[in-house]
Amino acid sequence: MMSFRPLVTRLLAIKSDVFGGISRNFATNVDLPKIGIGVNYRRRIKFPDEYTVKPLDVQNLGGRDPVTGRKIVNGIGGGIKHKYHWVDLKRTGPKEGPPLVEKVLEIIVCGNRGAHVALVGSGDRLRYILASENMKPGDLIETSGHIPRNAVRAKEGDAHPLAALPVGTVVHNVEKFPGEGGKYGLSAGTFCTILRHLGDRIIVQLSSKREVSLARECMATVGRVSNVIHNQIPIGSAQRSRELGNRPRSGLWQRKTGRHGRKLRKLPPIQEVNKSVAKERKTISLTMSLS
Amino acid sequence: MRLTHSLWKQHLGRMAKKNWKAHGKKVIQESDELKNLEQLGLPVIDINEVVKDMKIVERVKEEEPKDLKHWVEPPPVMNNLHPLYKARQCYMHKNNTVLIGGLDQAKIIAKAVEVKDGLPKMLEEKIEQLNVADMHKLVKRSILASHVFDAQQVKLPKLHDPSRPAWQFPRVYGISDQRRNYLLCEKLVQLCNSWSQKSSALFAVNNGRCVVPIEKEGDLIQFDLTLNMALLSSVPHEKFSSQEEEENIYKIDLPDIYPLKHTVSCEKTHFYESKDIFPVNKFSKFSHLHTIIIHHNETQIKNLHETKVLEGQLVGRCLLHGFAAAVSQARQLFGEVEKELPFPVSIQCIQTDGRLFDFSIFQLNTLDLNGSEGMKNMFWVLPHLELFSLCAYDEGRPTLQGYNPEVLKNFMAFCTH
Repeated sequence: MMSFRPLVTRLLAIKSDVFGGISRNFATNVDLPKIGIGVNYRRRIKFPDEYTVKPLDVQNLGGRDPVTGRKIVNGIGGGIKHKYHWVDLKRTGPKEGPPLVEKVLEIIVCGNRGAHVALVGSGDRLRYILASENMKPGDLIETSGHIPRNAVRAKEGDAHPLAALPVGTVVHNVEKFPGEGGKYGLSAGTFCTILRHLGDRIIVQLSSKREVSLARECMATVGRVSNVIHNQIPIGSAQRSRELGNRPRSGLWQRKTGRHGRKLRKLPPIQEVNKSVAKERKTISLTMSLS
Repeated sequence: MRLTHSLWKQHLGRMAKKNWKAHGKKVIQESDELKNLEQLGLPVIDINEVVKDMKIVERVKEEEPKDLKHWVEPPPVMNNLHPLYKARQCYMHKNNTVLIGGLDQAKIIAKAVEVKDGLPKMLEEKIEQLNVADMHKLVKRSILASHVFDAQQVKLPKLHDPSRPAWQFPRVYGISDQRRNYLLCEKLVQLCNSWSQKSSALFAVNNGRCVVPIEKEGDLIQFDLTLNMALLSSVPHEKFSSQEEEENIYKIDLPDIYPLKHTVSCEKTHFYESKDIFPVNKFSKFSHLHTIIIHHNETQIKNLHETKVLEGQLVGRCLLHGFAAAVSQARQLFGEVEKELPFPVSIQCIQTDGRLFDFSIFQLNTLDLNGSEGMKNMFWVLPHLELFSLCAYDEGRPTLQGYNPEVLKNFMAFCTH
């Protein structure tokens, strides 16, 4: 049986030195990963084994998949390299007894994110956390995992479980699953709102105005994320955009097609965030190779 | 009869390929067959269980012979079999460490208090009486020689303007900070020698290593410091404190850095050798540390989180160098001392970065560093003194502006005390 891959492309298969891929054309069967599910194609950081406060070196990816080397996202490349501050998104506190008290030592402007980063220390340990709106050096922030009968008076920068905070509190760095680190409300100026309690679940409104049902023990930090005016500052120039790591793009948009421009949609129903037990589905791939 | 190839409107090859790509992946759907069979009572055996014991003999790959000519010894594995491994954790304080808690944290580690603003009274009187008017011209010449005229040309750190992050400055060449500090101190010490025969500056140790482990609140802290220049004398210092100051010690509290611990920002390690090293031979005639001069090299001394080193952190560094030198000296004089010393051991300490000078004195009264009650050690420090405001090539001309004569007076007083 004839091979569907033309002779020409087989002979011209070029191996790239840097990424180790093969040449791409219409004949090659390439499965690219999906974008928009939380994988970063801008930069790669080599994390050491142990947590450290030392700023880490960054390797720009230029929209490429770090594993295969193929270009996944267009429009990313170059830009000034900023050292990466390893932010600890887990605010775990003691479930009983006095809370963990940490002192804010410095507020650092991080080039890898819009939010500011706070260097905090307690005992021997130094770590970075996301700075909240009004945080300043010298502040003392508390972290507690205890859920009391009556709601705790919320103080900005403190972290408590969702059930411990009064309804209507503005929070950020909200966990999806207890103990796994904050997932919602991490960008500059964002915040979530605790709307109501529904049985043993807590309904939280995200910064995109979607509503989500979370477990009671999920930790959340009170207040808004720092650098609130971040989204109001225009980039300003093409050069500044390049400094941010954005390659030139075409501004082409067409009227009347219904594709471009702002969409006004109904809010989806409340999503109950639960770990689904996914069935393992086996897949077999059918090919024509005879070797 | 058609002689030409018929042209299809659609490229069927591409269609076929897309077909294979789309339908080539089959997801095996679960069917109810297994359930039905189990209900009927028929045994269901997984084929993999049957095949498990059947082994596929794979051809053994021949191992390539090792290239012994280019063999490089692998780096030592840092585990508990390493020769330097100790079960007990040690907080290392190296020469370039600066504490995040600054002067307050240094005071807690050394259990030291500032009994008076500025230097001790007897030194202040001496500084006022000192007449070094004829030396200033020579000092200015020395400053220019160490900052501007020296022949060394190395790449200096890249200049960076935070407001213009993309701008690449032309690379600057000049004298490295280590050499500049060394030259300046060397010349100032030489001037002290020539001015006064009584100067202790006649006998000095360059880059002496001082290693001293201490116990505090159940923690093992080890200082591994380089005393860039240690001036020696044959007799120890007399105590700097007055009777009144000694009584005041008990009234002054140590600073509080809650919720931080005194060991925060110290490097933790399990791989160390706990030993005492004093920079001078015990049996030498000049075995007392009189003054230590330490350099603040901007390229080497950095915070762990790489933000700017603050003034308080530098003064704290000065304190700890004085403290470590004093402890090392005390151990050399008195052996393994636990608490009270027969007489207080004092060290004068000068820290410089080529322009800013910190003059301080550390008096070690006790080696009992636990708690905050009881006898404490004493520390005197002057605020930063600028030697000059500008010393560089300005429009092609070597310029020295803003010369401060106070620095020389203090320097002389320290060296000739």
